[in-house]
Amino acid sequence: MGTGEIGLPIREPRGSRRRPDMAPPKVERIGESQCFAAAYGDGVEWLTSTVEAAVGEEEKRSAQLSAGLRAGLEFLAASPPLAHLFLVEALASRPARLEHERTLARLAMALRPPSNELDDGGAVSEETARLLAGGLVSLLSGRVLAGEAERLPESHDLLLDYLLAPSRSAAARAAGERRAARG
Amino acid sequence: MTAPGEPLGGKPERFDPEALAGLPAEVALARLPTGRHGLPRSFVAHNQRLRIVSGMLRTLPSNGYPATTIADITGEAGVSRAAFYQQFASKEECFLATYDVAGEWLCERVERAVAGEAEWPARVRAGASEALRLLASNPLVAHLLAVEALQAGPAARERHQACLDRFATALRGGRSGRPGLPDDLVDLLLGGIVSLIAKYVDTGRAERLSEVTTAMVENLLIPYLAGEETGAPLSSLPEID
Repeated sequence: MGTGEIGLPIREPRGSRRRPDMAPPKVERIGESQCFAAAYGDGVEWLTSTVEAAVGEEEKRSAQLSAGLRAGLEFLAASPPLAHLFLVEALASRPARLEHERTLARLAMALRPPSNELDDGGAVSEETARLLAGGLVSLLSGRVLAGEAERLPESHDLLLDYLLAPSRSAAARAAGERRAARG
Repeated sequence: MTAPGEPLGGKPERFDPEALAGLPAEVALARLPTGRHGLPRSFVAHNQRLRIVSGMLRTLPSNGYPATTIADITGEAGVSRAAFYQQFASKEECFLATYDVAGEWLCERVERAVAGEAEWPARVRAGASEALRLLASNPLVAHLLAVEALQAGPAARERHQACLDRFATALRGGRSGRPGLPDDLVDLLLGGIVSLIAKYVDTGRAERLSEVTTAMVENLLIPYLAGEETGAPLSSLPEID
């Protein structure tokens, strides 16, 4: 999808000739928002499967986060038009933002594993996970707007520290409380 | 109005561009009489400008910036199209003026709340609490600042960034003595906050923004203070397995 187009142009192939008894070609005309939703939805699924494959190769949570982050950043860097679609166009109108919000909620959920899977006390709240997801996307959006999509992987270490900070802090606090309880 | 030194839990101020004319509300809010009224031309122009700004603010939530027309704004403001063009060259110029009025209003009040605190963590807490309280009480402003500014073009995004830079400057105060923290950290933290505010606005829950104050303040403070709590830099906190 060339972002900004309204519907799909209905054109006969150049030089083609239609016989009078032939029906005109059936071309489904879709609106801009439908076109955006389709491109965005497909792109998100593509990105998600790339990230999930990278995460699946790691066992520790911080390693999973690092691998998923790296895979996502490299995916976006390799596809600047998709990066623009996800991180700039998705903020440009209300229907697009609703799609974008669903993606952010999904990302926040991925950043917040269920607390029953944690034994280190590093759980973060739903709001904190959503703040992390929003901050991540906001920073990437700024980079893409500045024409630096290809350099997104350079942000890996910064983003990993940022995403891990609340969990690490909570885990450190929980460890301190356990030590205090043991006297 | 929130007076300096007033407890943060006090009643927040309502944002009303028309009242910013410095006139009694009954005068500022009233539409000017038609025909000969003997009011100074400068007063009429100022009054109309603020009414147009107010009209833009009220129109945005239902239409969104891209679909808002000048007729929508003048209809809401109760001014003629000619009066609009006497004040603004375009819809974008009007939007930017609206952003400037509302952004300055918010920044000034947050800076006032922060000035009452001496310690940096308390200043962050006071600033975030005041900002969320004001936005919760003024959903139109929350909508303008957190949602529309991102979809109204490059100039609007620059204004938005300038507003965030004022908050970023205050937040960077937390870096004193912690040179290892990256410059971009502030952008991440503030970006997350704007994004969460936009979510509340988009889902019609702007009035409940104060409920996320604790999460927001923690999110702002942790990268700066987490190491201090444990006596170690952030990057050397325990691994999460």
